[in-house]
Amino acid sequence: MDLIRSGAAFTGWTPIRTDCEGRTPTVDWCLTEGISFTDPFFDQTVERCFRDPCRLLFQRRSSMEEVGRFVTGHPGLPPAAFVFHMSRCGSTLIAQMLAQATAHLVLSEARPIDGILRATWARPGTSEEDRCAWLRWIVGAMGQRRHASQERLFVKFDAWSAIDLPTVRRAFPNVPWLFVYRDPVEVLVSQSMQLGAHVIPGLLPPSLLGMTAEDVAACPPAEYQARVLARICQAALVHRDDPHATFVEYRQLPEFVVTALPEVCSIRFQPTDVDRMLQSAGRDAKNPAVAFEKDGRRKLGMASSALRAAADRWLAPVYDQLQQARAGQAGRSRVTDAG
Amino acid sequence: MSAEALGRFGQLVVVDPRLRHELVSVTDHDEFVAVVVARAREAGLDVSADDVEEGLRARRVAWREQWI
Repeated sequence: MDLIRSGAAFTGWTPIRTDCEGRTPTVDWCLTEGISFTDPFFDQTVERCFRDPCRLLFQRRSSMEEVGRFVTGHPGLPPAAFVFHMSRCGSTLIAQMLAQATAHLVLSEARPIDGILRATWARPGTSEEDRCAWLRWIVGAMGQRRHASQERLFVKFDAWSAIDLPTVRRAFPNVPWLFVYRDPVEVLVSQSMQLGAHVIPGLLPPSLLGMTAEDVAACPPAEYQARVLARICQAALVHRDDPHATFVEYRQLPEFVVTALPEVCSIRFQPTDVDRMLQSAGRDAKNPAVAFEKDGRRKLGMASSALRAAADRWLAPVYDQLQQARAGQAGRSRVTDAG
Repeated sequence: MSAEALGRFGQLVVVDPRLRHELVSVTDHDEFVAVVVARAREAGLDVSADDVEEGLRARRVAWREQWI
């Protein structure tokens, strides 16, 4: 049985996958009526949907153009801010805190959005104009109001999406965005314990890192991971003068979210929402069933000499530049250092 | 019985909110298969339990395979 093709409205349905490899990009949709989007990652929400056999079996497929037509009539919630990050640096904590407010819809590392941004990798020749339009449509379709109380949308992107900041900024020129980062050794130790997809050779085209396939094959793991993370941070630093950019260091969390973020986004949080946000910060963001434990010192103690060398060579200079960028923005808002 | 008939039944699920709500409320696997077969037959569509099982299996595989 093929996925269902139907001209019926998409109200109550959400894109779960985009395929830009074929001649005509397609979008798969899941029935999400009655489903809250509060999991740490969007894919977990989809998997929760698929525990219901009906939502699993009766998925729909549309063209990208149909998404555009739907969004024209149903524009979705306005994006309040986008979250970019170097991974393992508190971005999921930010997403989980924001998801506590009933006025917020949070999309965290949503695969359909990643599929659009990576369209140029999967389908060379995709025009920038198409990518921008598809991104606006997919964010609009995913950002439909799920509950009457919802007023605004936050999107947390995948770590490697920072490389596509020019496209995101072109598609949404007025949306504030954060770049979250952390001490390079702590991030690399976290990656060495459980590799993220982006630091496994193969996800990112070697050319994006200024490398060849042979370079990648010969590169020691810690060095490769450091180079990927450095590339992501550099991609954000290019836009350090963008008035919509805010650089956030891990040690500013969780206070940053409740003190400075509202001003960054020109919004206000309800006092009850702030209480819920701070309460959620006491839980492990990726596994809310477990209490959060500060692990920075433990991670520093676990770093091998090879890992420290890679961090020093590839990431320390970039980290310093991020710190400078953050210091430079302190004058234009209440972005304070709580750490 | 055919996957095509199940696909046609899926078209009804998309456009009929009452049918959709009934099916979403059935979370037990075996009960869901039985309800789909029964409602499809009421709509004149020859859908078997095997068609539904195969459809569910294919969807699970498709979701998993995107990671590979």
